[in-house]
Amino acid sequence: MKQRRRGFFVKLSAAGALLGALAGVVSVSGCGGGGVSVNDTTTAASGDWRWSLPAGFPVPAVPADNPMSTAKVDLGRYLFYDKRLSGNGTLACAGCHFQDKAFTDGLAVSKGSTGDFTHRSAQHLGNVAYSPTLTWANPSLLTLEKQMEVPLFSENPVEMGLNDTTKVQVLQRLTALPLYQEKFAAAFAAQASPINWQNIIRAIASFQRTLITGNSRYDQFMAGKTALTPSETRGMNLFFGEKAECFHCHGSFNFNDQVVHASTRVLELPFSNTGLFNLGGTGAFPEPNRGVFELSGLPKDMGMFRAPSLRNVEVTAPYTHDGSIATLEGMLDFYAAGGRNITSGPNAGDGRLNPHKSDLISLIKLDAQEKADIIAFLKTLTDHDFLTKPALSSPFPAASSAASSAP
Amino acid sequence: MTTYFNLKTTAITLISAAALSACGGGSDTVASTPAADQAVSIQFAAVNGSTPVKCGTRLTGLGSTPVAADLTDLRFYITNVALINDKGVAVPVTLKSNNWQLTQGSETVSLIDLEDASGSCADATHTADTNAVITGTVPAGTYVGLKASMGVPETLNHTDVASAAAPLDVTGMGWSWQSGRKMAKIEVNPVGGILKTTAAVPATATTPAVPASTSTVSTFYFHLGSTGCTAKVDSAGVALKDAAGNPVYTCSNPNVMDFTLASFDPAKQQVALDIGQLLKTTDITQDNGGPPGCMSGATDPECPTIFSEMKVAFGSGSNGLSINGGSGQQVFKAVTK
Repeated sequence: MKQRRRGFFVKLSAAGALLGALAGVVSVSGCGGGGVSVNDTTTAASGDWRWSLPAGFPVPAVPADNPMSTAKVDLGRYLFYDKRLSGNGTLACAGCHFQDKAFTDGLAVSKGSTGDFTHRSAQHLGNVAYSPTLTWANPSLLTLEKQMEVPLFSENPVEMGLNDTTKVQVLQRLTALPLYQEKFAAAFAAQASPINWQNIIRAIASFQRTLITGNSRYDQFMAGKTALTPSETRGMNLFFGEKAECFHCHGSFNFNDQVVHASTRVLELPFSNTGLFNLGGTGAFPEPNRGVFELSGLPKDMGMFRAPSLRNVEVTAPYTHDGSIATLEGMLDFYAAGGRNITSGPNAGDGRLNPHKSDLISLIKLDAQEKADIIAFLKTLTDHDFLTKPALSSPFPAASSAASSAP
Repeated sequence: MTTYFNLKTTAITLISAAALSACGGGSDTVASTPAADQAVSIQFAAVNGSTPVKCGTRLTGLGSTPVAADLTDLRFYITNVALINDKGVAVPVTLKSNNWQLTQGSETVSLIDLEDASGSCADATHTADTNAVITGTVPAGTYVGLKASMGVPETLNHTDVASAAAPLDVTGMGWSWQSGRKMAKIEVNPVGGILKTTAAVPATATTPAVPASTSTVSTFYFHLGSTGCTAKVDSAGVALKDAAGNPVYTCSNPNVMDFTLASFDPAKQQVALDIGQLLKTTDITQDNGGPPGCMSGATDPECPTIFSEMKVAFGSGSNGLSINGGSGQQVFKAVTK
């Protein structure tokens, strides 16, 4: 383990020094033990679809029954931004996933179409094509197609509000629109009646797989196109170093520890308890946010959550599964303290002493300058192109009733 | 006492009934040879003790702290139904194909929907359509009993709700939480509500004790489903599918309820789910953790007594299987039509 961490650090340092020499193959093998080979294969294509991937990004894994196509991605983009997809016509997928926030919503928890609040904070969707699991703590949802059943059909809480009544109404609503008659026919040309929920899900998933973010200043630095400031460089070295240990859970090319792509040979699905809670010293997290435990009921899974990708982390506040930490500074303080001590209220307990906490979360002595440096580095992960790119933005005019808008 | 009946006689009635309702699409061929399959129609009902249960009629005396309650939902899947012949052999019922029942390979599943979205069941997530019958055929013979399970077979449980064949396409029975189905969805609103208690937090060396707090909620939910489910993936991380194209999952606790009615005559009797028995040892006026009622979560305090009535092993330390094939369960029983 020690050896692997060191090897990872050396390799990245060398890459940093070589700057422009970095192209083709980057070997990223330091993340929690999961060996992942990353190849620069931007030319891979299927059908009429051609991936345009940042240097060093592998070809995403795509389900065999939902191959990428230009027409499907186009349809998916319209559906993603269309409020008419919700049961009562008030909320689009994009209503909780804003492009300028890397497709999260800036809220601790989100409000569904009928007023229910979600249990956990909306995920950002940057590079979601590379995520083998898709929510905060659910190892049973392994494709975007399967995950989408949650926001579409969930009853508790209601998000998009599709039930056995409204799912029929929405199909009627979409079928009545020439826009969708054309786009479904183009995307699913072989089908006589293509406007159905399976195809809606497949089209939106195809669009989501195009939400690729890899043109941050960090990426440009790695490609030798720009330099980092001294503070950012110190922050990078801390991030990838043994002192701050950030990279154990955020060390892949996607700055997380769960990665899947077309050439994945060994898949690992780590979840971690970071010591956010420890109700009354029992190790418990508050319901209904006990992590993987909510599914398995196994004590070892208490408080186990997925490490999110830190790409665009500057714009994805608030942080953690429950949005309970508002700022990057707060997150660093939390990790430096080795967990969180809540001294009063219903969630009182010293998370630092949570018996299920990851061994990698321990007291780190970081001075103010070091924290500022790490934050400066984290901000180099912001991909402004991704946050503004027209191809990923709403296809509807701002005033359109179909367009999503902030709640 | 075991009631024997001869299906040859019974079948005449059942076949006439089938002929009258053949608009479902599957018209049965009635052959005259003794070896011909015989039509069978198994009626279902819900009762509270001996009182029929339906939307809009208040139930009384529910739970260990007896309370009146209004039914708000009552649907469940029945899988792998079989009739037991006079030699004690369980003979699978071959299901007719319709929107309430599905056969895939050797697995069968039917949806029994006893709520009609009226009265206390009125809700946008409910459906007016109902189904209280399983129809199919068995080989000619003499049958004395019935064996079945409440649940969805594992191979079919994790199919996509959006594209699954009926009756697994019912959104209200989807359970995205565990990527499966609610195998049973039985919900009541106790009169006076449910006192929900959030547990007290004990003091630690650095934090003070926090007293318990309470609130009132309206609906006692019973959602039966498989828990501890994870998708199987190949070494490349691609979710595996079986030969029929279904996703492959493993669940630590299947939570399918097996039951046997040793004496059952489909001509004269129906299979009744007794809500009173299901909730008999559970206090539905209180909730001490997890979602209101029992949603099959391994640590839900309201689940152990309900699972005990179903004779299904409960919790993360158990295998989530029926105990002795559900022997001794009284939730399902044969009652006169």
